[in-house]
Amino acid sequence: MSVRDKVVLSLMVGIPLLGVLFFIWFPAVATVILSFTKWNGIGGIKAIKADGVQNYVQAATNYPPFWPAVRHNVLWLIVFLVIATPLGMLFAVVLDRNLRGGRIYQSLLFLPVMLSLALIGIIWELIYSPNFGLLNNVIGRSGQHNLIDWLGNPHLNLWAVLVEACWRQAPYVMVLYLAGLKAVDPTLREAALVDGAGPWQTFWRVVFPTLRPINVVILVITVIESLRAFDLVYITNGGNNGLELLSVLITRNIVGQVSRIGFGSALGVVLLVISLVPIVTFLVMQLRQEKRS
Amino acid sequence: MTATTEVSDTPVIKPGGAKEVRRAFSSRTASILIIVLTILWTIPTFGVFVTSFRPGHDVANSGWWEFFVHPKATWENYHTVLFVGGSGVTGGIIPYLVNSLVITIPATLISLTIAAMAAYCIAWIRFRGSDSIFFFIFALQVVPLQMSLIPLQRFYNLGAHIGTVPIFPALHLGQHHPIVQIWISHTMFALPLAVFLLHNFIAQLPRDLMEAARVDGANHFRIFRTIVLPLITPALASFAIFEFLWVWNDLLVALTFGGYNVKSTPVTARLQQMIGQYGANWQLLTAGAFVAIIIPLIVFFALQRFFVRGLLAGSVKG
Repeated sequence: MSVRDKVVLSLMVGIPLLGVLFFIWFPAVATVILSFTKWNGIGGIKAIKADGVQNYVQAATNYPPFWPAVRHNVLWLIVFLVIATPLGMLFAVVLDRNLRGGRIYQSLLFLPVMLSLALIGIIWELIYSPNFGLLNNVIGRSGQHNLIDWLGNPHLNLWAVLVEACWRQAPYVMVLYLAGLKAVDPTLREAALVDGAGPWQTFWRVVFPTLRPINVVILVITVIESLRAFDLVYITNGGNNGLELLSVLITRNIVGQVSRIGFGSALGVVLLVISLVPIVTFLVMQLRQEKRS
Repeated sequence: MTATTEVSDTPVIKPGGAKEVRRAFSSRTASILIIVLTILWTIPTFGVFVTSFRPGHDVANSGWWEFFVHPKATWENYHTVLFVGGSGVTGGIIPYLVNSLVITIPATLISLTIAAMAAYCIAWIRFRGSDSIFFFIFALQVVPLQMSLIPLQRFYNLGAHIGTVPIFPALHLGQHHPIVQIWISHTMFALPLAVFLLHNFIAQLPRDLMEAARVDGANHFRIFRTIVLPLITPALASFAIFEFLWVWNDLLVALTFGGYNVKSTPVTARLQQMIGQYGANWQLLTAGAFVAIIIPLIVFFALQRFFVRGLLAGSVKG
């Protein structure tokens, strides 16, 4: 390897590595450290005071929106994992049968993925609006006496927003699975067919196991997207009144006027821990399975 | 594959005729299922589309489906949103569309270039620690964006120090070049997934190809540019779609580093602002919404033929 090659290669790996180190890793570590301090963001590093686990204690015991936000975040993750993902898989499996006009269905179904969450908030107002929304008109609850305020009622709005979120997430998962299904060796299916397996069995016993690497990607994306939930609730009502989420609370404490950076950082760490749970669980299960086989 | 042998243990052999009928039936069920789902999935967007062409008076007094009973359409809403503003909003949406493009195109191209080069090195050049680097970069995907935003903001303004020793200079971009901050942030946050997906794709290119080029005396950069890049076009195109959509649709990064001003605010943040100002003027809001969708739509259809093919190729080995 020539000197020139070495220089070029070091640049090719070095730039992104230093980039993620400086712009993701350091800030993330800084957040963990800051979560054990008290700092209002004014004044230099000297103004930061160590504060032990006070921020965490305060969040858990003396910050009313904290527990609802944790519950909502976990619920969001679960709904994505048990509803949106299987739904996306269903889309993919059906589209993979090469139906007539499949391209058109695929593009139409993919449309929501192209929309920003801010736009999705606007779009669904037309469905959920109490008087002139489609939903209330279809189910006959648009009269003044029996209106359902889907986005205003704190017992309903989280579910209403979750429907919006799944509307976008399912086709997202669909595209990823579709890509995976197209790459499955067709001889595998033929072999299964010759052996007399039905479509159901072929899918679960033959095709699905080969999709395992994609499941990792999908899991990661599902977790990331459910943590990004910020935009949707922020557009809907600023993340209050039944729509509290950790990301909203973090933004409110850090970017907002209050500027309690230590406290906001502690909330960020809680969010990180929640997002690590499904990923670590999955990886451990994978490792165990590999050891067994 | 062990799975295939398992299946053969369970006999489900049916007489040929019945099987044919069943297959025809199930393909019809599949068609109907997908048509119903597609219609359900398209209704919300369709409602926005219809509303954006209705006169304000109609929108304020009836649901959008009434359009089909009393059809009355107008271009007025689009004219207002694009060029005028109206209802307390000054100026059309066009400068914000331009901002979005100025943010999105470089951010997409920079992250793709850097990620492709890194993926090539990690996949094809054996050096100590290449696996750990790959794992390290991949693992960063789980860090929530919000966790890094504030340290990142201070980092842009003040640089990084250990004690009093500066290890990274302050960039001082906030005042005059907020868009540069947005580019850098998006690029860095896209890298982990981009490197991961492109690595999988590049790793399965035939080894002989690279070795032949090496024997012919090509250096690594040349191999990357003339052999690898053309071969990974489908993967690049599909990731470009995703990255374009992420950046175009982002609100949080843009707000944190760009704030609200006509020089750096992208169209998403503008729409979010308009929700407050347009209030009940749904015909304007929906027209604005549709304007914001058009450019991603063009990008998607332009790159679609690569899309499904390139996305995860290399991740699955049958």
